[in-house]
Amino acid sequence: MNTDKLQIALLGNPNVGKSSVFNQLTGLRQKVGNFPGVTVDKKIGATTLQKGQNATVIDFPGTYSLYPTSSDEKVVLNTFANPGSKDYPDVIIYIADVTNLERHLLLLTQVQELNIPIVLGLNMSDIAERKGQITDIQKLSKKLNLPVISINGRTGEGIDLLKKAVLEVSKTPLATIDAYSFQKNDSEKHVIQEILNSENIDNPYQASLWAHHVDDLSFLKSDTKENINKIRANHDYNDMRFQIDETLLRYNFISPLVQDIVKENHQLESSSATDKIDKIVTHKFFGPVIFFALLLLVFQSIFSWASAPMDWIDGGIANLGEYFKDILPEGWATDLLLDGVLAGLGGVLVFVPQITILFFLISLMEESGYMSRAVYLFDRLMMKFGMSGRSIISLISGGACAIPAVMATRAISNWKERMITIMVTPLISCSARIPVYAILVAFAVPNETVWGIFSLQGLAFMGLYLLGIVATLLAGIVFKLILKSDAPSFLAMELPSYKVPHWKNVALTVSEKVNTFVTEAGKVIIVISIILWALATYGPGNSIEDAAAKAEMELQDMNLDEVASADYIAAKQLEASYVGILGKAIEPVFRPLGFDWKISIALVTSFAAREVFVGTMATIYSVGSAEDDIAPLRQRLTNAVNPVTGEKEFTTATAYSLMIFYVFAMQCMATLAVVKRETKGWKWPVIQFVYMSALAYFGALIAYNIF
Amino acid sequence: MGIINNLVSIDRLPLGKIGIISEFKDKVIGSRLIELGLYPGKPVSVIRKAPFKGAVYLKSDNQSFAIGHQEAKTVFLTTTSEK
Repeated sequence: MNTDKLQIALLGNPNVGKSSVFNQLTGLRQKVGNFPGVTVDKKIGATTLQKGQNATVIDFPGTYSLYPTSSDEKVVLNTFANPGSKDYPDVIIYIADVTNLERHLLLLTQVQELNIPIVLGLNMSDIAERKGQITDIQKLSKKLNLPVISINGRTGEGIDLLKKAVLEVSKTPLATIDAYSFQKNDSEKHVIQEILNSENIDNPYQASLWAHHVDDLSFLKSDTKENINKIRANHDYNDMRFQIDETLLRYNFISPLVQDIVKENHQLESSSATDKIDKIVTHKFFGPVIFFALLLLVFQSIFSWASAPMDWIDGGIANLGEYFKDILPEGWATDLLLDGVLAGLGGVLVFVPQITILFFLISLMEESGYMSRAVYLFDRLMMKFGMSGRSIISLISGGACAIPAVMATRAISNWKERMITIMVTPLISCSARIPVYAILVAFAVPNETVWGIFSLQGLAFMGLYLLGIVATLLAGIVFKLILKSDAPSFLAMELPSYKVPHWKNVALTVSEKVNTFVTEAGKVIIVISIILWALATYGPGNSIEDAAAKAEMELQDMNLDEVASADYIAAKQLEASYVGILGKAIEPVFRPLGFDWKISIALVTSFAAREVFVGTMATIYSVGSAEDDIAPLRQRLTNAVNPVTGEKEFTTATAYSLMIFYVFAMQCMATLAVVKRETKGWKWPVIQFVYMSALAYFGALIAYNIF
Repeated sequence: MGIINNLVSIDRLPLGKIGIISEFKDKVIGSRLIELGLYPGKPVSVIRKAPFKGAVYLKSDNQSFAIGHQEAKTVFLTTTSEK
């Protein structure tokens, strides 16, 4: 075996603390890649086994067995059933929970039959100790015929021994491991034997996996699949029966073994801390109340804690721009650097506080074990809308910002439920829509009080939010009907004991999310913002200069002060730019919604971020210098009259139409960039953009004709 | 007086009563439960249920599990009762 470049697979059941061990092994030397063809993240890290001996560690998704029920588990199967895979390990570090050994040994006995050297790490030994449980490690090692090390993923205890054992098993030639004596029936024996012969492979368990999972194994060539299917049909192969038989037979080996080596010192108290907590947390009434209180906290903190650092980032980028403007020579390159690249970078970094806070809180919920209780409580409800219990976290976070919300869908293991959650989350009104709603509601809805206490404008605001929520749920139902699922959707899971979160894991989750967003989605965001900036700054030929000159001529008769003059010139320049031309070109499309070319321009620029709509409208209406104050813009909109027809340019119907448009429209390049990153391709963001735009268009059309 | 064995699905097991897993009607759910260590012969009891026909909170050998209401209908247990 080539030990220069040892490849180690980290394998184990979900919730076993595998990521803690991964972090202990690799520290910060880790990165995230993809498994071929699927949207499952592959965490890869480097570790030093001993001086001069480095190894690559791949952290595989938590898996119960080689019979996958989700796309995460399919990744594991596709790697371990394929010795030709570039992820196929030289050595496996298998992590098992010592307090729950029976279940955790199932997958171990399966991969063991693939004849890959394995080191078994027993995690949670501290908890076992507290419970008074004693495990005979030497006996276990002897019975399983592999090295067994007691470790603690949190403190790093035993990690050095683990590394040493890995080195040892990689060097000693592998003793053939006796396959567990299955009383395979004739059909299975024949199928396995024929696959071994015809496909030229030598491991019976590998052949068995090929027979069982032929449709799930993406690496098999079509003639191989044909061959296997023929063999299966010839021998009347019943895969479900075989799976249950195999698993039960393994337990027949495992259960007595565990009973033999694990000694409980004293009886467990009848009601442990977890039971006491769950009595309240999963209570019919208090459970949901506690959950929504927690989510309110999450929501509030994204909203309020993030706003200060977001302002610092905005301010910092602006100051940096001012600083460079002074020291760099004037010219297009400087403009590109400052107004294009630097502004784009600002547009990326401004999301970092929200992502940081959301994932800090989410990983606290995951690490403590609370998240699976939330799934227990809400799975039924979300199932109606094609989603999983975990989706509720994304939907509610979407009320602050869709970006961290879409990123949070990673924890949903069922592909279909995850896709639906990603597709519908941006319909929840996010904080970027607030400035847009604010100006439109202030314009269209009278500032009156109804029934004594309710502000009419407040009710309109709430109506827009509710419309978004209803659309989200309805879209979920529609996608549930359309999308095909790759694995059955069902709820059957462990509710792990509560644990104190491990801070290092929380910190690593947060930094990984921020890092992925900045480096991967960030690229797309910067490119699009440079394009938008160029379109708004340049026009064909000398059009911008000509427009400015013409505007100055007109200004001579207008008697305006300096600020108003600058605003007027800016408006004319924007109109002459490519964005202005584009806005006028698309005006006919939006005319039925009551949008003129000015609004069309704002629709184009607000693709950068929805709140840009307000700024662009202000510029076009020559009140660009007013910045955050919406009163001047509102005044202009009220007074604006079409010079040709004499009709009002901006009517109440236009305002309602725009409100509806912004409830539905996918006017956010950053979200699209994140969806592209999470779904690993342009297909889903394109579908999302098209369906949300269509919804926005027809919604606005209806609204315009009603009001 | 005698002892009789009854076959009931998890969703119909009275709270607090212990049943022994004996049969799976759905193969996929059955195989996931087996993977979780809930295989025929294991004792389970229902601790509580989420509202509106929501998930069932199970305990077996001091471990907790959640299983959907529909899923619970496919798992059959034997219970004993005195006549």
